[in-house]
Amino acid sequence: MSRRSRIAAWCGAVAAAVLGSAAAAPAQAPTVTTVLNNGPTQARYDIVILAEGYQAFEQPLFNQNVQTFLTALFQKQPYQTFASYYNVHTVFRASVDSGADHPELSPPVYKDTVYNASYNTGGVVRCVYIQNTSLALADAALAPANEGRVLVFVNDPTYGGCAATFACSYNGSSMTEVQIHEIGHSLGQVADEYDYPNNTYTGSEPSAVNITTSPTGQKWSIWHGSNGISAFQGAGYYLYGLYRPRNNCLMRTLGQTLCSVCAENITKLLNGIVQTIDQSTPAASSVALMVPNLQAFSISHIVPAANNPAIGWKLDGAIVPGATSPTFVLDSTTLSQGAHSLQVSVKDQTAFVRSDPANTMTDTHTWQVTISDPTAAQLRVPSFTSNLLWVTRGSPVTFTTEVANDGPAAAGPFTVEYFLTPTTPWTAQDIYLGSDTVANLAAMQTTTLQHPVQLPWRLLPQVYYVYAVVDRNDAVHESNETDNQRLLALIGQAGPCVTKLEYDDPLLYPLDSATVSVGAGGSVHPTVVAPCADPTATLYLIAWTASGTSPGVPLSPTVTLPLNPDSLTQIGLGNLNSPILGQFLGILDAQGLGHATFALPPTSGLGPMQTHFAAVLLGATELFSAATNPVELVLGM
Amino acid sequence: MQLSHAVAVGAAVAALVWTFSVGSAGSTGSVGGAGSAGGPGSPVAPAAPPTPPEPPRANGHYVLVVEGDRDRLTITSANAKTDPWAGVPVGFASDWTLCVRDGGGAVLAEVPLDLTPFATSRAEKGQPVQVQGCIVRDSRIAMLVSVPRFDTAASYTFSHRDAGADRTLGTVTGDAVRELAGGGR
Repeated sequence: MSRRSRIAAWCGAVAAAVLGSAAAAPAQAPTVTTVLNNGPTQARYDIVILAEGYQAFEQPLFNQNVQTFLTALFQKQPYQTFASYYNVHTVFRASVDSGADHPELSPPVYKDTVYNASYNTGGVVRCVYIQNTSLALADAALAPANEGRVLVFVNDPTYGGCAATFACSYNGSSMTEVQIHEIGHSLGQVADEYDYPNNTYTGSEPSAVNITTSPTGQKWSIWHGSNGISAFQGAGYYLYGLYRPRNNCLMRTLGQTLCSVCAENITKLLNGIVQTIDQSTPAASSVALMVPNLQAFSISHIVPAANNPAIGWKLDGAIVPGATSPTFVLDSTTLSQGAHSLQVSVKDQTAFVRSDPANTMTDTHTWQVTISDPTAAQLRVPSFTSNLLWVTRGSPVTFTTEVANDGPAAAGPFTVEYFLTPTTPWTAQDIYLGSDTVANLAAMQTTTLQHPVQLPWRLLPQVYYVYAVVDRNDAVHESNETDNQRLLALIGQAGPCVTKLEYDDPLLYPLDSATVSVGAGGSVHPTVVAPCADPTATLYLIAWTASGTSPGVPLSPTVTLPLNPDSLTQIGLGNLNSPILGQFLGILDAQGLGHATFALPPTSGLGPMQTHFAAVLLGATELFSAATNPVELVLGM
Repeated sequence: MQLSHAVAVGAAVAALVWTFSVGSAGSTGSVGGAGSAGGPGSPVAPAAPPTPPEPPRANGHYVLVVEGDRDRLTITSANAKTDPWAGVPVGFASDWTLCVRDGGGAVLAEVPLDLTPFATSRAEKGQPVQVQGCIVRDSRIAMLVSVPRFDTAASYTFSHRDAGADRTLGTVTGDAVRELAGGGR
């Protein structure tokens, strides 16, 4: 609606109010009229104007005063630019007398008025202010809404005005200027800039934005050089020591425009209350969206086009590049399943505001969007526990894993894998503790898995973490692939004195008895575990055979190597620590571990063959001090 | 490798070579265990997730008349409005608040109060109205406060955070506010 048409509409409303109230309103009963309606009260700035010192027959005069004031107000910046942001409500309660008290006169004059307005409030003759604030507030509260500050027109021809919660002004020839000055205080929270009656200010820095003790006007430096803004001495009732932004301003002299500093504060306070996003579609703030549908989101706003409103969209907090129109189409196929937020913002880039740290000039609207896919499962691990906390090398431990499918679709088959690691997070290179397979898990069902494992022999006395990882390779189509794991902690302790051989390779389990295959060019890492052996006096040697493990070879009365020797054994012993049998003879490290590498050359020519490794410890005092278990290796697969 | 180690290795390898050369080729050993362990358990119905309590919904708003002074505030009038509460102005904060609670003590809303027009220092309490220029400062507080209207509101408590401590300035029951609003529009 244009300003002209709004005023025409307001004139009609006033006329209707006059005609209606004259016939129906009982004496002294307040009449509430919305004279300017620019939108819902929760989204606009609601001005409430009270009539004080008007007799019943003077209600048309009050209405005329209101019209005159609004016409003047919306011709003055920044109110003109933002005229559509205001609703205006009037409350008329007739007084017995016209006018206001004049205790300053001799003899004093007292009037019987509804809010008991009086000149000479606080000993300042021109300060006309109401005394019966309780009734005035109760009447103002009858308006559909308010912003806490109330305008009062006092039907008295004597020049005057004053402001606090109420912005009061007389209704004489300077009424509009006085009232706009007063609402500068009450609505705009700016200070007086006139410099009387005091001489030199010696107090602290005033809180108001438009007066300062800084001779350079540092407080409004962002405006320096524009619109006549600098720093002029004389403000806030002091001739010296306080400075104002512009040589003259409505907060200093009636008839002036508001300076940029005052106008900026009024504009920000107004926009801090007004919601400039008027309508949003969909109207509901929560939107459910099914894959593969599209959903259009749109808004309308009231920011004047001349203020160059900037529209932006954010999806899950991230700016959507290029999305600057009032409508945004969301493609469900581009989003993960689950909850997302879509926010639109409209920033008023008016020239009235240069600094807006509180973002009062930006209005936002947010939708919570839930993307769902009827074909997707949603696996997660609600719980993962171990029957033991304190463990030792080779300990049998049982994990209990609860797997839930919260999605609308069944899941399966899928695996639940277990990884042991001294650090977080896990990787596929960590010690593998096997897997479970779940053939099928229906929608909205939970399954509980018991997973017994034997911990590795090379476990050290330290803290370890075990991860239960569901569907590591994403075989199941899920709405959220990021919540498929849970971990628990185990505390490793010193364990039994064992002599073992196990593999140190990823995704193998059990480490000391897995069927391990290696093809041409591949490698595996047999590892000797002898935690109680003296690493300074013990060597290990890993032997190899293709002839099985039983009955093995007695090496001493107490040591039998579980390998049946053959030509492969001879070849192995003849090529210890060669490129193929790396570190098959070596020294144990400080933890009693011997790390070897078996690397099958790319052109070995070996066909499928089942072989075994086993290790023997060689001591300085006892040649064969211990033998390990055998581990299997299938070549050429 | 130390000399003693080297001697031991030489002896050990020689011994092993000799031992293995006279030994017979044994039978093929058994194949190691499978790579997976355990199995799926029986599906069970999931435990119903706890339903979060529905957040309280405001039913329009109240326009309250609040009166008193820096040490005591009360509600002297209330008007119920069907329009939604407009909320707190962007960027506005205050040490003075009105807290609306339900019967269980849960906070339904906390509304900062704009007392900047009033004389709220301890020294100003009870002093007559002061006017500087055309600004009125009164230690008697009389103001409008808009708050969301909750059917379950049990108390309205005014507080002032002063030097890090909250001072309670007055509490009005929800019933009293509803009664005050009975004659509202």
